[in-house]
Amino acid sequence: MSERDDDALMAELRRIAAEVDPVPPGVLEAARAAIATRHLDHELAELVADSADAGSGLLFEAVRGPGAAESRLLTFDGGGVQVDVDLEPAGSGLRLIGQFTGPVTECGVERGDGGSVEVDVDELGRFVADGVPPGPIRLRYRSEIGQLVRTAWLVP
Amino acid sequence: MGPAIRGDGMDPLAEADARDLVERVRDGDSDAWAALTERYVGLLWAVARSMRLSEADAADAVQTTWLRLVEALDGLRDPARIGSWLATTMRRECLAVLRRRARVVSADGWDQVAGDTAALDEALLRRERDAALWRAFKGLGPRCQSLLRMLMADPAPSYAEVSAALDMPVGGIGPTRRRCLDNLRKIMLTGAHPFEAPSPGNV
Repeated sequence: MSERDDDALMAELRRIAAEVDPVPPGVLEAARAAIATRHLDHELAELVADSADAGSGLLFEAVRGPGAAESRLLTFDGGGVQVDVDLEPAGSGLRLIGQFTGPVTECGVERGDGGSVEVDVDELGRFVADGVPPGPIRLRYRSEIGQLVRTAWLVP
Repeated sequence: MGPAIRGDGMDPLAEADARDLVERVRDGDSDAWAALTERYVGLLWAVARSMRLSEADAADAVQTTWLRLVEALDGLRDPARIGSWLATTMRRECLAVLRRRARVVSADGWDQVAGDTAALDEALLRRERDAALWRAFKGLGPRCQSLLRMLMADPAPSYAEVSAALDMPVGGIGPTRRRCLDNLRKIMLTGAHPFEAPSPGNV
């Protein structure tokens, strides 16, 4: 078969795929909204450990065994502060339990559409956020010296 | 195939367009962002489906990739190659999803989640030849299904983007595409085993 026959067959397949497996409209809408998460005023806290990434060079081993498989521990580092995040299913949503290693003055959970929810941090640097929606989220916090920090995006 | 591509799989015209779009997005042009997402969302979707993610997981992985682009926007070293950057980032997100799924779902369960939706798809295809083609596609081995699904992205991806998405040398794409399309024709001719699940390792 010639190159042209191949191209024609490929074009047919592309047309069929657009019919049976199209990009859902919500995916494009969400993509458009993602630009609302652009800010130029913060430092990025990098992911330094994720229990879901066994063998990827990050610090934690995967948590294994019955029951343990449902909890996930992540650590971010930025603005001179580390934050540990524990994700666990709670009801139909997700509970996020966190711990800062240094003082912070504000904290929020941001969603991929630009929305966010403020979270109270106690005097020991601990916080809990319930009802975290599915999809990518990140934390925003302000360090003691006033530096605004956002973590890299994480997908529960 | 659509774009005129060089030996390295890049398309010079598309590169200039991509660079221009990224620069406008950096300057805060929201029309440029809409154009950029429209241009590449098909590529990202094809990567996810080529890697057999479910619709919900694919949607999350696509969104995460856009968010990582927004995050990386000002630091991108080569805006002309934004398509390859997106394909690489998307591949990484998909692998992360598959790793997380492997921890909570058994191998059998995963097959059910991502597995054969041929019957459902066919209900959507009223034209007989389309249905037969799609059935034949589902009868291909996993490597061919993965590459061809990737190449079905609309608009057609450059080989550089395919290479980044599938972690496959650019030079291997053309010959593999030819072989997979030949296999597809064979299945169409013989009408072989339309409902047989692809066996592992069979290309």
